[in-house]
Amino acid sequence: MNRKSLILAALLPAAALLAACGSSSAGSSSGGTTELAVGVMSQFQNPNPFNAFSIMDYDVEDLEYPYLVQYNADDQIAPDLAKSWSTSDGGKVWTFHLVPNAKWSDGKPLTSADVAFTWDTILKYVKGPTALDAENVTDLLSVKATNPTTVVFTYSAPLASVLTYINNTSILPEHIWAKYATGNGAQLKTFGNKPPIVSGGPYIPEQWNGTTTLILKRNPNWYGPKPAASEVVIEYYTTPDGLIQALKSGQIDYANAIPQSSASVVHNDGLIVDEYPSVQYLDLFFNMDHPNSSAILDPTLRHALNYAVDRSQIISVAYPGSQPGESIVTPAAQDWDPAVKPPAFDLAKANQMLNQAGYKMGSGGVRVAPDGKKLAFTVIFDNGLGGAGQRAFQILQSDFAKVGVQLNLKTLDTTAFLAAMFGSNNSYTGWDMAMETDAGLLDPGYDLAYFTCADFGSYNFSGYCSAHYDQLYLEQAAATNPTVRRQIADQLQVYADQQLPALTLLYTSTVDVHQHGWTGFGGNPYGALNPMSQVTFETIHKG
Amino acid sequence: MHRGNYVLRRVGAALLTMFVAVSLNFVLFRALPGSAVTNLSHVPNATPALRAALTREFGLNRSLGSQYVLYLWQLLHLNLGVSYFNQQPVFSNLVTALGNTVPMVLLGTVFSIIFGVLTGVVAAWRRGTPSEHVSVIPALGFYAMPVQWLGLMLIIVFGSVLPTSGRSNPFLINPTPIQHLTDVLEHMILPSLTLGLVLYGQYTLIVRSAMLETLGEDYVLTAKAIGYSNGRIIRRYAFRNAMLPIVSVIALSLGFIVGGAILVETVFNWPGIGLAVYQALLERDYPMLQGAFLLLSVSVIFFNLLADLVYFKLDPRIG
Repeated sequence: MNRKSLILAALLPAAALLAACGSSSAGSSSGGTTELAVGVMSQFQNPNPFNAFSIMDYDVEDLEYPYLVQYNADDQIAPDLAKSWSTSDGGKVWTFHLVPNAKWSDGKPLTSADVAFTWDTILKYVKGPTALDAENVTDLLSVKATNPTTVVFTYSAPLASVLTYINNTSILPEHIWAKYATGNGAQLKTFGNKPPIVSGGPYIPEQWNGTTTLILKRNPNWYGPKPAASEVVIEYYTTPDGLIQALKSGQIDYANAIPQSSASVVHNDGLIVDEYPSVQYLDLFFNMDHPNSSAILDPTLRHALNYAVDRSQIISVAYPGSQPGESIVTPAAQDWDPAVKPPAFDLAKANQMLNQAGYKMGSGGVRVAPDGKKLAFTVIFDNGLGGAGQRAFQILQSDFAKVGVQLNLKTLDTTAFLAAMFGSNNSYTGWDMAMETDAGLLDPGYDLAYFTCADFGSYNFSGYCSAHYDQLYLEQAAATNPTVRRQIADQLQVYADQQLPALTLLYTSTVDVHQHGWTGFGGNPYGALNPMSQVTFETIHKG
Repeated sequence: MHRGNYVLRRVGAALLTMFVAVSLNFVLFRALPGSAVTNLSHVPNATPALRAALTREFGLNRSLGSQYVLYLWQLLHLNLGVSYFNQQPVFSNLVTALGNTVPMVLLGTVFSIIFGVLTGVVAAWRRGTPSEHVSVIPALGFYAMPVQWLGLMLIIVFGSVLPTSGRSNPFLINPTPIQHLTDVLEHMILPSLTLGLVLYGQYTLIVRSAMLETLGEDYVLTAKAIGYSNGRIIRRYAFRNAMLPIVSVIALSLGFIVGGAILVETVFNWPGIGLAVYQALLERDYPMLQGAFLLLSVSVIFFNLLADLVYFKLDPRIG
């Protein structure tokens, strides 16, 4: 190598460094700011709410845009942009009264016209660009702004989940979005909506590096109480190790929803750990539609296997801090029925039930069904469950082997898993069981909906379809009286427990961690930073 | 004439390879089970109407042949399409990710090349001595280490001294260009070092092997007999004639720079193209995958072509 080449080689690193002088992602505020650095493991990907996909997309949406209602610290629906509301016409008409004199961050008035525009846009394009929001306009006929602070929603029938749907939908500034809600509405999705964004919530997304770092500044025009943190930086971490290291070294103040297995790592490091019951559960779903083995359709087999699940072991080894599961509704959600309890771990009982049902022990310790087929089942597994899920499966596999049932694992990434589960045209073929987590919202209607016939190809992971269950579900969905709704929800949970389309192994926990310098973090099944409420950012402060 | 023919042949082969790569890119991703529609329609109470809307939106309702023709037509117009997930041009998504990846990976690669060449030369020249062992053993050791493990170890060791995550400090207020450069450099040290350490071993071994061959040649013995200095012998005789295999490996390494380093980017939370491609793969974001792999293919083919031309310059007997 000659001298010229050596000089060039030495200059290359310098060139690399100069090339690294891209735009700074540093904040641009002046002195006197109170900054909160947040570490998360869900990536913010879409500033456009019509393209929102990851949980962080929804969390940020909750900070930047107003909602008519939100959840308070007690997980109850509470006023937000709507300071009060009333119903009439048997629950078909909802009238919301808005906070007066509200403004967007650019100073323009935030009124009922923005509310009507947002909902009308969703209704107008619900078969196209706003199809992802279709659920939130269930039975909705119209939304009308009768004066600047009053908006009226009219439904074709009473619905128990109206306020949940309202809470799911952020209000967008008409003066920004109206020009995209024209023609076929395709521009609603192609509009980048990149920071700085005109906001109506407590924070304004100010800068985003396109991947890992989002900087939000306090919105001076927000109608709610002034948050203590003037600037929030949300940093995405791809591994729990990086996130925990950042916590320990003080690079971040608060970590949202770290893996449960990491909680013990941070307990002894002088950090404050908060655990909340989550709305997420880990299930072993049975294929109730077209399993490879028809033995799966035998309820006695499914109930026998329920006795062979060592929930305590799975929790202590793989998901510390979780609760043993049984009901299809999580304890964190409303209307959970505590009377639906998991059976005790009893291999002898499981063996006895299988013997009585005619499943004789065959060669190799695997039982044989009356039709001559071995009880060897294909289990599709979402590798997004990570090491904890794999360990949980191993425990199940080992215990099921002790009752003569063989589980054969097929691991797939999440997209391939969903494709394999649903099959072509929702045929649910090619597998017997599936291991996956699932999650609803605080409204029990979600958990209950996941076993309806209409949810095939969506969140119905069992391919379970029962006319009786569907009838009860529809009654529950229309029950605007909370007591009546509760009774029907209990019936649904009991019925599902009898039918057992899935074994609910456990209900997970959400683990948040923060430094001692901050206090006032509120709880929520998704953690203090969540898609249902900005109440945490109203209460947290230094001290 | 001979030179011109050689160049034309190599360029022609490069273009044909690019066409095959582009076509394979199209086919392979669609062979994966599931699609972006599977992912995006996985919302509560999703309906067939939603899935139909998404399928139309992504153009997946067209026949494969028609999608392929459209894909080629767009490529000819340098249009990489729009990401299924954020609905933004793939080109701008890739530019953002590349802008983060290239400096970090380039720094690590250059470090590995320089350090690998130096240790390889020492190992060959000082064969049989402790210097050779000191050069080769650590090289082999780092080469054998899983890159993500090494990254995590460096985080533990240097976590209190250097930044271990991200590309820059978001709380650095109104930095001057020098402050910003220093901040980015500090963030880049550990990921580039990790990459450089696991890569330099291959250069050590290749350089050592090639040099051992040339050091055994008669012309090197003659140069020694004439009394030339060791430095001159290494530079002008031994190393220069050992360049061919080294050029090959360097060209391939430079070609893969744009592919990012997914494991390093993951461990250090570096917002680069490796991470973007991994995400696109999980999401079946075909336009992003096609765009990223096209970029990677073009880069590898280009640098290979460059290597062929450099070969020809170094040794006109080739071709």
